[in-house]
Amino acid sequence: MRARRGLKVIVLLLLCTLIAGCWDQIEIEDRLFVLGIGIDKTKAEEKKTPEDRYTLSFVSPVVDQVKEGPGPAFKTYKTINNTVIMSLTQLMERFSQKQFYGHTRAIFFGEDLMKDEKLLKGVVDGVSRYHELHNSMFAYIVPGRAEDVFKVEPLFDKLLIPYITGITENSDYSSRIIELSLADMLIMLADQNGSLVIPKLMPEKDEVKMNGAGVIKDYKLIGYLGDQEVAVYNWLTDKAEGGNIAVEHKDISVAFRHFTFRRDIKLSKVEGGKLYLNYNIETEGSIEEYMLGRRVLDDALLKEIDEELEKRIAGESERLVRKFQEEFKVDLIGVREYLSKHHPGLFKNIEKDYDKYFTDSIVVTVTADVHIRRVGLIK
Amino acid sequence: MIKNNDIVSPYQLAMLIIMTVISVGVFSIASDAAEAAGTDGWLTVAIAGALNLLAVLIIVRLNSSFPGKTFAEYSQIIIGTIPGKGLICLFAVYLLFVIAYITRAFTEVVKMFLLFRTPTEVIMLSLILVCTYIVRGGVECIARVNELIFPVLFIPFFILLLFGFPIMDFSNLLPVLQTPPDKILTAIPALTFSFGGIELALYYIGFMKNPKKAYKPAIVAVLFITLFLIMITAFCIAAFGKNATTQFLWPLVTYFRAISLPGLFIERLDGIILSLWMLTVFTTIVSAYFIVGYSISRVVGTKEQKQYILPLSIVIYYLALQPDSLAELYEWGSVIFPYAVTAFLYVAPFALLLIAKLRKLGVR
Repeated sequence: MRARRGLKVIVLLLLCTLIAGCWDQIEIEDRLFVLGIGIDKTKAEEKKTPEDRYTLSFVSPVVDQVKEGPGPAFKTYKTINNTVIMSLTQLMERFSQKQFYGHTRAIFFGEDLMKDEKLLKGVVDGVSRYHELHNSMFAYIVPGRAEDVFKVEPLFDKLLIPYITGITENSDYSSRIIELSLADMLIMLADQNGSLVIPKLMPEKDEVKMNGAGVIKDYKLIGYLGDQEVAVYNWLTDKAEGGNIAVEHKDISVAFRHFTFRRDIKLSKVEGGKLYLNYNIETEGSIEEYMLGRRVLDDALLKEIDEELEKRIAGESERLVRKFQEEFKVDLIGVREYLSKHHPGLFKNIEKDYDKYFTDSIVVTVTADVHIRRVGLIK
Repeated sequence: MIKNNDIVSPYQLAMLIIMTVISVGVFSIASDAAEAAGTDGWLTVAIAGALNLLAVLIIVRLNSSFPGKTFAEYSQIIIGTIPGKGLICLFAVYLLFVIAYITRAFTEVVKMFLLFRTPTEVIMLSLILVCTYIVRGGVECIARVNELIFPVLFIPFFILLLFGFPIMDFSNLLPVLQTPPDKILTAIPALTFSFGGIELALYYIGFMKNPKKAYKPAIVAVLFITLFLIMITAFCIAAFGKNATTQFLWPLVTYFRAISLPGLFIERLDGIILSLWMLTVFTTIVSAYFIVGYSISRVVGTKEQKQYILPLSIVIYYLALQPDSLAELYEWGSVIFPYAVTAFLYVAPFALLLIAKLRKLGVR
């Protein structure tokens, strides 16, 4: 009896060794958190082997310097390789820590890379396939090289990436900022056959500027949208919320700030092989700046400003629609989405040769409906 | 004397069916449905659910003609001992494949997200052995485990699903009813495996005191499963659109990963998702595993089924290691399961019920 009990204890103790092991244990000190990744096409002179295609730049916080400390709070480093994922592994050969990408918040694509269909497809596939990278991170295009972003030393922020993503998160207050996550990018590429508008980031010495956006068609960069055009793009695609619009009214500059922005598309008629679409934009907000000594709290005057704003919105919108139809020849303003969702029968007929149909046979008119609700603290 | 505790209550039956059906399929169903029928994907799921409601009614009807007997016993009465035993053996083999499939799918996911360097063997064996331990406890034990895990699984699941509302755009579900009907119908067989597991009710109803009481829980369970799967499919398509949804291997995992909860203590939900995944897998394996042991005991003619469980774990382990890759595993699944599920969920119960009627067997 006693011997059997002893045996049981021994077996139990031996079983403990089974639960004590952990193959995948990594201490947090051994982790190097990568907050941002920049991807460029490798320059010819940088290539170590002819297969090298990508230059990847990384930024990681120096943990003990983040809270307080004289040194820089983040460090950047680069690697060159044939594929994105190979590069990530290659870093292990140079650093004692293991890179961890679970907290990566931003990804930057260089201009050269975006001009190359094969490279772009490879990168987007690689980063969305890799399980550690979350596709909620923000994506940007950088004119020039993405590695330049990592040379920026932000004025007020200790860390670079929270600074940049912070700007993107301001898109609720400014319509000139596009918020695009990697998941959105995948969805847009899938829904629009490889076309996309991606926010442009301009690195400078101690700050970055979010101005304009890159237009990608068939997985290739074909041009840029300007600052104001980005705002109009946001209006047309129903992504705008807050923001400003300035108009001139009787030689006085008026600043209008809007808090909500809504767009509705309606198919008005199909005639002679052409589709007539109407974009109706509705917004409400307040007058924030006028002229001292002039009374703005006046219904008739507000109506006039109203009209001025509506004309402005409709005009700028129609100009951008024309730009997409004539210059870029790609539908990124939601016509395809609208037709396929709300007029599937109609869309089925034109789906095959849609790009050509979009440029030739779709007529978009824009109407705006502005409501000025408030005028600020001065009458 | 110890009371015989091999009894399943109606409530437990519902839990058993739900927890068995909800398994690895929930994570990929949106992708399959979207690929088959685009924005009407949720509709195919609904139609498949309606079909299964019919199937479960036939199963309960069949079982209530033979109170106190499971599929393993009455099939021998209805079509004779030898053919009956053959049918049971086939059923057991099919379930073994299901268990192996799920075990392998689970292992691949765990290896991908969590334990890169832990050997496959260790992950598999630890899962199979835990299941073995529970299955040895008998049917009541399994029913209780399912009953216990149900709220643990579904409450966090629903809460997490709701966190996804900011990323959803329900206009992505438009256009409605534009897929040609023949395309929707041909899509249904591909979805059957997501509903596979209902056929285990053939056995579990036999453990109820009064099988006539099984109608309500069985219907409730199938409705719950159908609504749950419709919800998941609709949410995933709403979040990603039909084109991107078809690209993802496990749209639901991507869905959870796309949610970020700013300001919350946990920014990433990966860990929670994996533990949920583990629970769904675990309950399915346990339910099927018991039936395999029970079937063998009925074929061989022994009273107990415990002694077969541990040796079976070796078979499962061996089978699970057979596919070379995830792609091969999925190929396996798409070859075996549509036929097997059709055979055991629709054809076998219906045929048995018909024969029993013709031979005037069973109670009214």
